[in-house]
Amino acid sequence: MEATQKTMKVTVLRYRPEQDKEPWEQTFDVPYHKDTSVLEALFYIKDNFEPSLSFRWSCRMAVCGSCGMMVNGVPHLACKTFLRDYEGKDMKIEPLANFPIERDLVVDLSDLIEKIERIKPYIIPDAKNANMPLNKNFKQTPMQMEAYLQFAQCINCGCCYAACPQYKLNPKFIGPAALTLLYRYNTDNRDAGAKLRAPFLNSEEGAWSCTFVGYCSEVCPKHVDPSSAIQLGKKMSATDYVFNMIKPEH
Amino acid sequence: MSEVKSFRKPYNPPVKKMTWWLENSFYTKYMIREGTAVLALFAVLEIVFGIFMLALCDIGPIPTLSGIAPYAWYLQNFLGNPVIIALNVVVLVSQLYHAITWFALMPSAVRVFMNKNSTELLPRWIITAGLYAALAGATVVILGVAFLTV
Repeated sequence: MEATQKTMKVTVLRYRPEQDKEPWEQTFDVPYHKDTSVLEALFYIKDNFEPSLSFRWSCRMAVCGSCGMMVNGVPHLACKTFLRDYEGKDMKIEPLANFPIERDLVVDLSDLIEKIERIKPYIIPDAKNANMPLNKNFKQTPMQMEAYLQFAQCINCGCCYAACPQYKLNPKFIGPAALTLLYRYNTDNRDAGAKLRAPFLNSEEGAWSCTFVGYCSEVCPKHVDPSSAIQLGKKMSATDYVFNMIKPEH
Repeated sequence: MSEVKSFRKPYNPPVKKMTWWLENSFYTKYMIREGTAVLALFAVLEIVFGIFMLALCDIGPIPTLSGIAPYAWYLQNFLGNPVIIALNVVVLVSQLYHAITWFALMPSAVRVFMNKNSTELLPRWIITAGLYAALAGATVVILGVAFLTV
């Protein structure tokens, strides 16, 4: 078994803020077998070659969303990406694109977190149901749940922001994950917060900054399909605009 | 205040404002789809030009271009020009590329359940197939009208 073990040339982008001016590449020969993930390859490098290599991880099973990074230029979860799928090629691991690099493969995701907080990602009940226990008036039919469930699978890994050219060009864009969560809560029949979220959805940096490139949906490791949620959000925003024309709020 | 000295110095990779779409084939395909709009503009101007030439034939004494009526000139000399024919082939291919890629993307913008009590979404292929059917229908109608009026 050992004799047949394959190795892959894995290049990792390094950046040590205390001594480096800009990132640089370091290449390692990493042995792998059919179930070696990119995350395990990074552990191997850290254990055997470079103890100072920094990267984020936690669950190792595509649940926590910590290990988003670029593998050969494409955003992936390191734990859900396997070296076997790159057989015969070299691998290049870089920090998640479109975010400031803190150290090695660790990026600063505070912009993503701020945007998710901004769109009020929680159920806002109407006045009648405020302060009611959740098991009182909040029963849902399977269909009512299905309406938003897909968009609730987001793990905030940031892969969609790394894939989005609009976010790359205009960092003010609220972006795929936050707009998807906005749509997810607006579509939940227990929620009455659509009016409070409308200013974010309708704004220039909201849904209308999206040009439907669709790469976010391509790379999403949880198959949330953010580009779908944003296009549906545009529909929501346009409807809101027309209704406001006919019957202004103020 | 912490006693620990911070070495924080976040690095912002430079953004290639002009060439970002060449970094990744997915972006390139997207930009080609967007670029087909320019060629669609050519087709529109071509038709507007044709209508203009047709209108010229209708204003009393017909002016002539190289000895023939404007619309006949438009049909023979303009549309018959090999360069224009080649351009029109490019336009047709580009619009087909736009239609095919757009029809593949379109189901993402539609979220309809199979029926009132279903938790199953209308499959993507039905929406795409509907768009192809609409394209085929429109093509038949336009070609039909064209052949009937010739």
